Amino acid sequence: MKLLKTFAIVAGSGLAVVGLGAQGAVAYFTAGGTATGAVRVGLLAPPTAVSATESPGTGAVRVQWTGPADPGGLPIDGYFVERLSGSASAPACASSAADLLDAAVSECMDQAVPAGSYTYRVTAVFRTFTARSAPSDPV
Amino acid sequence: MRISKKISSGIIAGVATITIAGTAFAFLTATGTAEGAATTGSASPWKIDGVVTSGQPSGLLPGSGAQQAVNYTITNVNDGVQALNAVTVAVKTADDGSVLGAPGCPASSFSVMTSWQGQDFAPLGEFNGHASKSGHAVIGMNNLHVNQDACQNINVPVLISAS
Repeated sequence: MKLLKTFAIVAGSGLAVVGLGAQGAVAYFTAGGTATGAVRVGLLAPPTAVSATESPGTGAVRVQWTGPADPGGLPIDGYFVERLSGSASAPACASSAADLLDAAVSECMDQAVPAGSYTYRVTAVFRTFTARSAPSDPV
Repeated sequence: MRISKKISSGIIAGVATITIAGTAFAFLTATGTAEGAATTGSASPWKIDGVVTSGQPSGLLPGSGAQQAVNYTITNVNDGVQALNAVTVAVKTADDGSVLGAPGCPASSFSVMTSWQGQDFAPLGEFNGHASKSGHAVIGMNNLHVNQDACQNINVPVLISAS
C-alpha cells in the first residue's frame, strides 16, 4: 500500500484533520465564522376609544372600549378595568389582573361608584403581555 | 563466507544483528534526520451571510404558536475542503441577563432550536471549496408566567457562530 503524503500546516485558529487511506488522502480544515441577525417580538395593542358614562340615579358608570386585534390571530385572555382619581387607581367592574373580564366583553358597569370625578383605564391581557389604554374622559 | 556490507550514511545509533546460516543477513537499524518541504494550507473563516428571518408577521409572542426562523447561507471561502462541525445561534445578552438593548427583557424569554428529532438545521459536514449551503434555526418565545412587557415590540439580536 502506498500512502499518499499529505502535509497540512494550519495558520490561525483552524484545525487540520488529515485522513490517510489506501486510495488516497483526505484533508480538510475547520474554522470559525460569525454573523448577526435579529428577530422581532410582537406587540399587544391597547384597547382604544375608552369612554365612561354615568348612569343617572344608579351610582354606576358604564365603561366601554374597543378591543385590540388578536395578536398573531391568537385570542387575548381578557381585560381588567381601573377607576382613576388623580394618581390613585382602584379596581373597577369587579375585575383585576388576576380576575379578568372575558375577552369577548367590550363594556362593563362599575357599580357603587363613590361620589367624585373619575377617569377609567382598560388593560388588555395576552399571556404575559399587557397593554393599557389611555384614560377615558372624566365622568 | 562473505558478509555483504551495508553502510548507512548519517547518524547510526542502532543495533546490527547478523545471522549466519549458510548465508549471511545483516539488519541494520538506525536513526537519522532529514529536511524537506511540505505543501502549506490554511483554514479560512466561514462566511455567513444572507441572514433573514421568516415567520408570522405578528412576530414572536409568549408561548407557542408564533415562532420565527433565522435563515442563513454559509460559505466555505477556502479553495480546499472544510468541515463544518457546528453552528450555534444564541440571543445576544447583556451582563444582567437581559436581551442586549432591551433592559428588563430576560434573555431566558427566548429559546433557540437548531435541530429537531435528531436532524440538524445547519448544513454540517464537508464543504468543497467555495461551496455554499443554507441553514436555519428556529426561535420561540417562552411564556415565563411573569410580566414580559419589556420584551414587546423589540428586535432580539442573535449571533450565529460556525465552527
